[in-house]
Amino acid sequence: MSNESTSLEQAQCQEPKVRARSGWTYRPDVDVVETAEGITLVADLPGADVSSIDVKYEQGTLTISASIPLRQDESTKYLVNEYGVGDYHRQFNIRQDIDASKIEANYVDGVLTVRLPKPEVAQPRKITVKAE
Amino acid sequence: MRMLALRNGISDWNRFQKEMDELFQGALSQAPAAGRALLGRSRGTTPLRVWEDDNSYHVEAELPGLKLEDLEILVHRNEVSLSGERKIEFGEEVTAGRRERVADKIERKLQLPLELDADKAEASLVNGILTLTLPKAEAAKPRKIEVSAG
Repeated sequence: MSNESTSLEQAQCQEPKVRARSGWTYRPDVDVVETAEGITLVADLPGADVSSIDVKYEQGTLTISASIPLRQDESTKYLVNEYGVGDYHRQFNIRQDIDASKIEANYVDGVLTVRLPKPEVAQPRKITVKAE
Repeated sequence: MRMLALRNGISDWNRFQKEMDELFQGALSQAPAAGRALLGRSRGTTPLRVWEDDNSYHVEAELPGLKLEDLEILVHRNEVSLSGERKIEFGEEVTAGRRERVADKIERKLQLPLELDADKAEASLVNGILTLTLPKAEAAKPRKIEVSAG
């Protein structure tokens, strides 16, 4: 426990809690990058299952959540216990135009990738002038 | 041993308190790495969970984005060591972004109370969860000696 750092969030971790699933909700680490095509969001969600991940986009808000089952019996006595296991939840306000119908998400090796493409810009068109 | 959740958790009682991140608003928040580290999980070592049953020790680590072949796992006597690297790559066409995930070096050595049977050790990595099953060496297991009368 040598690398422990103190923060408000951690202090909250030690509050008494109600047991539902593990009873914890974690804020996953997320990378967000923008390219010419759109926004890509990459979240570490170790221990999730494709079917337990929920990705929602509604009125400019992207919500990622996943419910994570306990992997060990609750009575397990740990010799070392350096991290907590619980559900994931995080929300983002996307302040850019997104083509909501083309949002894609996939989950590989515990990493969720969500691609939010920008709407296709109207292609410049050349109008042919016909002679009558 | 005190049990602590070391990561950036929010506990259940405030889970519905919505946390919103404003993206790409004004100056892009290039979250300073040091500041993030304070809020995030402890960096530098790979956090583990270890427990045992009569026959084996079990070691678990959260390693999202890694495959088993990215890891070197060595078992020797009563010691197990984990090493590997997590790479994070985005293409060059990225125009803006904010990063919280860290390209970590995975490096961890662990000494267990009893000698291990290295030949029977097993590892699996599923959905970013590494699980090691490390059987205790037969010779090291506590033995019950039958006392016979007569």
